[in-house]
Amino acid sequence: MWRLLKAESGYDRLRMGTFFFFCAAVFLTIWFGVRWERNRIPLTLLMIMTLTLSAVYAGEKNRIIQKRDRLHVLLPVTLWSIGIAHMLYPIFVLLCVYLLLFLSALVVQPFISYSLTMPSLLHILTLTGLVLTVNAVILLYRDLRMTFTKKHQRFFVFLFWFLVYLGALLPFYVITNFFGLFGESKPAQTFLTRMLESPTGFLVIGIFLSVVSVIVFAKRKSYVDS
Amino acid sequence: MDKAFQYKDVVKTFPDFKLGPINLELEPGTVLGLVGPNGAGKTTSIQCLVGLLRADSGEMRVFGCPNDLNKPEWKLDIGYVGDVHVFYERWTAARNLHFLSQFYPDWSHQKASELAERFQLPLNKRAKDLSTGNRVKLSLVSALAHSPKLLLLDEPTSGIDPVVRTEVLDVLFEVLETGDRAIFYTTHILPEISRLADELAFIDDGQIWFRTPKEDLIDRWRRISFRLAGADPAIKSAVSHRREGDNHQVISPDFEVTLQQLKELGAENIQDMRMSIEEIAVQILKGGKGVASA
Repeated sequence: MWRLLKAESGYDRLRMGTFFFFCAAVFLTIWFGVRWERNRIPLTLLMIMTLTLSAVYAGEKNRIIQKRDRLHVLLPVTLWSIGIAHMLYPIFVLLCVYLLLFLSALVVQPFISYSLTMPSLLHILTLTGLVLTVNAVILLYRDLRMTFTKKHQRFFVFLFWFLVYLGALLPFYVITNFFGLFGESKPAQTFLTRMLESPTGFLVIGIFLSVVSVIVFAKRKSYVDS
Repeated sequence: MDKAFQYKDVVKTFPDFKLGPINLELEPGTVLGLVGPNGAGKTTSIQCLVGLLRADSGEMRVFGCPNDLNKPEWKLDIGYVGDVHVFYERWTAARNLHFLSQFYPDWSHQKASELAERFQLPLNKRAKDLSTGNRVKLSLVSALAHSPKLLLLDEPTSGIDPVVRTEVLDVLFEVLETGDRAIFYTTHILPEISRLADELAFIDDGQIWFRTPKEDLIDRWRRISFRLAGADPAIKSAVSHRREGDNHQVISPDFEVTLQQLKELGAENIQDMRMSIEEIAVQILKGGKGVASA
């Protein structure tokens, strides 16, 4: 697993280098932007998420185009290892981005008059959960497409997107009692609000979906195409 | 002693194609060629064995171990070259080999270098810049450098021009002839396998029709010409019969039976000629199951 993760993360260094350079530029801009004082944390979190997901998506796409799953499946490693390596890849990218964030803050601090507020650990956990969730959804979609290849099975792929949609939006509909559809269900609203506000809520969802994505990967019927 | 591989009632179904049930096994040290037209099921068979496809039912073993993808020790014993050659495209050939070497305890860097040299493979070039022929060579070096006991070659030279193919095969056969390993080679290009195979299995429509030692085919199949006046005789076991006047030519999968009958019919000027393995295979694949079982 570690050898695969090392290969995947060390692959295409030039592109990753350019990406991290771009990240550093973005963070420096945010740190120097005095006017963004009040929105600095949300802006930083948004940037981390956008940058990480775009890098992860580009990496996944690259792996799919080059059919590297096929290469990995032929190696004497378990499918679980391959699946977990795929799951850990976004974490690796995220860690690098966090590292850049802190390094850029260290570099900037001596040159500015105000003190920088960094995202808290709780923010970071929430963000990690979100990245894991989005990555798991991408991997699940790909694997379900490979598993349900027959025409009559396309329904399952549609069902998957329907569930993703529900999972993403239903909590907000319930909390806000969208068009009065859900009535005044106080316990449900309280529970969902707490979960979404809790830093570990997204982390739990992200880890759960990632585990599901590893299981689905290990159960695929074909690894010929990615 | 464990078989190099075993298929037991293996079935794999696609919307428009069904493979199997396949029952096939290979003794260690034997070279088996799986011959069939495009779309016959050769690639599907081999992809089920290496784990790229999951069979719907049946059992497959490699040196006695089930081909379980979550207990992958059996993969240490195999080298596989498919019709698609997948690498880390931005890495050099050498870096790709180094990556693979980490997974095989028996990997020999010296052997990899020797093979690359024999194949004249430019190790310093990025995989994406390699020609199709060189990609095939890189796949072959990858498959051979850990000295596998079972080599699975699935139309390894498909897509490369005849000149490069000959060059690749010459070196490959030199390398393979010296080793004591089981080889399973699928192809629709007969000259590729006829030089190397001990046995041939014929596959079409997802079914293996029959399997036979190569020498048996060469010994038994003959093109027989003779002279016989009168109406067309019904020649036993002949799979093809051409006539020009009183001169006839038949192809027989059992020439002794046919010769005996021709003598009984009073045929004259009987001459039998050996056929090449390519000619025999064409007759078998053209003639279908009936010919195969004749």
